[in-house]
Amino acid sequence: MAASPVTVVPPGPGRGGPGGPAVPRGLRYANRSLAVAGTGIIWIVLLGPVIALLTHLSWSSITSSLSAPGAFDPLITSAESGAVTLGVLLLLGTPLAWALARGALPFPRVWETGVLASLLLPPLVVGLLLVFMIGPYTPIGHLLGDLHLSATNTFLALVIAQVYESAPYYVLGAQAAFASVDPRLEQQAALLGDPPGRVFRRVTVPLAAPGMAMALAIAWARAMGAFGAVVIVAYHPTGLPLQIWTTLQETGLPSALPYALVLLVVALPLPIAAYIWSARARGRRRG
Amino acid sequence: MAGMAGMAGMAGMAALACLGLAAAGCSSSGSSGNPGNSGGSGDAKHSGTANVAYAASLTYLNERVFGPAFANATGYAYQGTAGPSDGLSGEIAAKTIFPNVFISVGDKPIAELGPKLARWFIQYASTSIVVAYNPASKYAPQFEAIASGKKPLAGLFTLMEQPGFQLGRTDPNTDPQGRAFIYMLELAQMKYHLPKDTVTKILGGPPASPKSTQIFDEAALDSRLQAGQVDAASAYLSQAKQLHLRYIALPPDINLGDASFAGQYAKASITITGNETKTGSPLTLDITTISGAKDAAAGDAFVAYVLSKAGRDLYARQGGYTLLTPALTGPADAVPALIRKELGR
Repeated sequence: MAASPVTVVPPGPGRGGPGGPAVPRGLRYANRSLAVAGTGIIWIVLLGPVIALLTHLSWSSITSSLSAPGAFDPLITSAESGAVTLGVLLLLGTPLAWALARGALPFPRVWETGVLASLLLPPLVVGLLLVFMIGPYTPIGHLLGDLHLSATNTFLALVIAQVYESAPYYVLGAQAAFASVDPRLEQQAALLGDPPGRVFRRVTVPLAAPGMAMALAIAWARAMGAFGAVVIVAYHPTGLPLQIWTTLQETGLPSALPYALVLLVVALPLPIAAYIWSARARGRRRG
Repeated sequence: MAGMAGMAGMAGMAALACLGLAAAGCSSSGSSGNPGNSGGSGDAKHSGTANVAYAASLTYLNERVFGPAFANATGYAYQGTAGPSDGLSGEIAAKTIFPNVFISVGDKPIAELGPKLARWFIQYASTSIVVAYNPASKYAPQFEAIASGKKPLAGLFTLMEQPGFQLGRTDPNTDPQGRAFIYMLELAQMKYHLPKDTVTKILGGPPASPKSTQIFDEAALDSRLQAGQVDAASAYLSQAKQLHLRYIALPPDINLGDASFAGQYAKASITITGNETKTGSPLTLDITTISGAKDAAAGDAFVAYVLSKAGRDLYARQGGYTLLTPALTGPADAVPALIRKELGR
């Protein structure tokens, strides 16, 4: 195959290459201002619901909602179930993500399609289908019953619903993180005598860690905000999203909104920390 | 620098795209007022949308039968929002939804809106509470024997007390059906002289506790029963018929479906969230228009259609509803003329 001809364009007016004429300072300033204004509009549009939340909250509604007896129980429930969900995702989602990234599975597209299919199903539908899977009169339900457990309106049901709502986000994110690790580094470690487990622990995971942290942070946010599947299989125990829903129905919007603020305050720090750490780790790697 | 200029251009275009999306949102909601959207082929002179908030038990009837029939007959478009009556009332009051018509189970959710939003309401039909059951349940033979009258109805309540019995119901704090089921149990306990802890035993704890594992969202409850994952569940007669559920009918003095027993029903009560005590009342369907809502003429036309012969025929064909002589509560002069005409005033 013949090499395609390469056209070299010399730096000229407006292109601003090295040695070219400098762009006037005023134009540079105008360009920058336009860029900031444009991205600012996009940012504000995306933040619209959060801005609406903050502008419609009053101190009196916050204090009256959050000073009620048991007001923080949903927060504790959500935090506990979210933490367990993350543990389950790390344990079960990581090997799947690694296998998908390394092409270690036969018919890889089939496996990937499976993960995507679970992402595409609306959470409400996932919840309805979970009833067929883990209801008390299903084989799994019977098995759980023998163990004196139940996946209907229990903490276990809440965790299962959150895992189903968040798992695809973690698996796809972690897959991308593993795929970004150069396999030659793993091969070199193996050639130096490291067994596969050690290679994974000392080479693959540290290099994929920033991406995995982001995947985990997104999964956490998804789990904390999970509602569609949760409302079907775990009306009780009440986590924050369901508390917002039932409070809205019981006493109206002013008393429901403070719980949305609590959800934001509790769910946001982990993704922000992961984002900062991930960006710094990437920056260090670049040099 | 060229990168910066490009970035500026991209950001500007993306911002315009965002504004375009917002505009598209506006035009989309605007176009919903087009009668053609509901597939209506009726009078094209009418424009506007009957935006109806209604008790979730009416979902099939309104969305599949009544809405399209109304659009065809009048030329107005139809849009529905289903939910628990109390919840809808709260959302209307909080202005998170903006219907021009509200249909509630029981008149209390309408009355709670106050005269600024709803000055009158009309009671036009009623339904009753039944116990729907799973034909694959291990208790199915007993359910069938009770449903056919071969075994006494009182046995149903003893059966529901059994440890391990999977009962499903809706949240009494947010849903009239959830409360109606508890009133029915209280009335049955009185009627059949059952032990005083029967209701508590059946419910697995205090009547209005939201922590009960028996409580489900209404949509989840129906799907659980259809998936065979509960033994029995509360249901309205209309729902049981519409979803082809097996059910045990209850006598009128405990099923909350007969307005002549209103005094008897009032003997049952529960205290819900906010320390508010609610008492039993007939499960009537009550309709009103919301003052100050957009497209008021379309809302008036919807209410008039519900009360018309054509509308009542649709309810009768659906089954599970008892049609009542429409009864107005509130000042007659506040009712729009089109609706007054259907009331014969």
